[in-house]
Amino acid sequence: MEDNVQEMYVRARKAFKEIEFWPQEKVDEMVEAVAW
Amino acid sequence: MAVEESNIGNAEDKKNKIKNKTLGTLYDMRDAKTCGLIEENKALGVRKYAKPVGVIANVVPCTNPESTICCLALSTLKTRNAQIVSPHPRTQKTSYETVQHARKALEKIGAPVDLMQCIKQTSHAKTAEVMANCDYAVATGGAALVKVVYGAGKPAQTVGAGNVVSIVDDTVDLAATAHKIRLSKIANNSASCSSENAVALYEGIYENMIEALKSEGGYMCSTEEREKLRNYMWPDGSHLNRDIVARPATFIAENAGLTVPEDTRFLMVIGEKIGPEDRFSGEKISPVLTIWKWTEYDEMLDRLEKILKFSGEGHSASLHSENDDRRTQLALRANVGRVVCNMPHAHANSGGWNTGLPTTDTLGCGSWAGNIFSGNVNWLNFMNITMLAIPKEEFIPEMEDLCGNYLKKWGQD
Repeated sequence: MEDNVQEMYVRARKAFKEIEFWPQEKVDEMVEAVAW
Repeated sequence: MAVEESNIGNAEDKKNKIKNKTLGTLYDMRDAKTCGLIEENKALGVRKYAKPVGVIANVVPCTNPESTICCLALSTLKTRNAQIVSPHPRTQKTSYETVQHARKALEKIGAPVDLMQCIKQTSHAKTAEVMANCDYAVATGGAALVKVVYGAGKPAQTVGAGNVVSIVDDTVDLAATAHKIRLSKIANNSASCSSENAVALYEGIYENMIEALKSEGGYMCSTEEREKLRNYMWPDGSHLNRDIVARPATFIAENAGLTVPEDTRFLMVIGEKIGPEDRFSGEKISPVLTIWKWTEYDEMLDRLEKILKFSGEGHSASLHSENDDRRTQLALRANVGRVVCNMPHAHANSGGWNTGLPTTDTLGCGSWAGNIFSGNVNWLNFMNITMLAIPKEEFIPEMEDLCGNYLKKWGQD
């Protein structure tokens, strides 16, 4: 990861758009994965 | 890693804290609805739909450079947000590695890894830039940071300084209470803003409680030793020496020029004045405990108000008492977000397995500390809600129905 904040934001925004409408089951699986 | 990088805290306590914070956060959000329809009131014809916030800037402190990320990663992901972490300069490697672990987990299940990113080489300018670019900010740090965060012009969750005073009366077991205070005080060398900065002891139990605290590893400083400690902790008289933050009591004692037993776990000093003329009345972020004595509970609450006004207003207060009236009085009078009773404060204030308080590493301190929220920041703070309304049966109340009590008492003019 580079420290270009603008680019980081663009990547973050793109990732966010991918999950923006994810259903609860998929979100909960993601949360459990990161917790583990 | 954080201890090696910053000399703050101790590794074993940090390991336990990371595990407990992660489990606690996960437990609190179990079964919580954060996607789509989350609530419906058919009688009112209102449905509520959860929406994410977007990209969140997460400004992380050096005192908890990993557990803060653990809590907030779960909370922001649960609500379908992305996060960019801005670490503290003293612990940027630790925070960066923590985020790398989260990215690996995201990759494993096919989720976009850029939901979690971290600044690698941090600076004040980059922190400000992250906050200015993101859609929302959460910043765990002191009063100076609060101004910077709100200066970025984005909606934000912030926190305030802690300065917890644990009041002890004569209704509790002194040995057990001293043990609880020790557990809270020495946890992670007092890196937590929830560790006691002072205890206030009822005069009737004062001598016995001091002895009980000594039995738990407390060392009572003489007037001369207090002065040496003061000069070491605040070399310029006002700014806390950063080298003492979350360091062991024996390290602080040695560097202050005190000779203390090897098994000393915290240093005790008598509180003299409240305010900048006696810095021991404020936040110390170290295993140094100020001791106050009280006779009348009301007077102690007045004094607590002054102490909090100087340092720690909005944060938390602690009481060891079986007297429920005293608990209620403290909750009603103290301008704090949390009042923790009969528990090791640092192990309960931000969540724990013996308390119903929500797990967090980010304690909102309300308007008293310039914050927008006075609770324990968690997943509930990271989503928007869209309310959908359909017509319900019309009902228009009469003014007399709503103001009946007033009209009955004061009449209609």
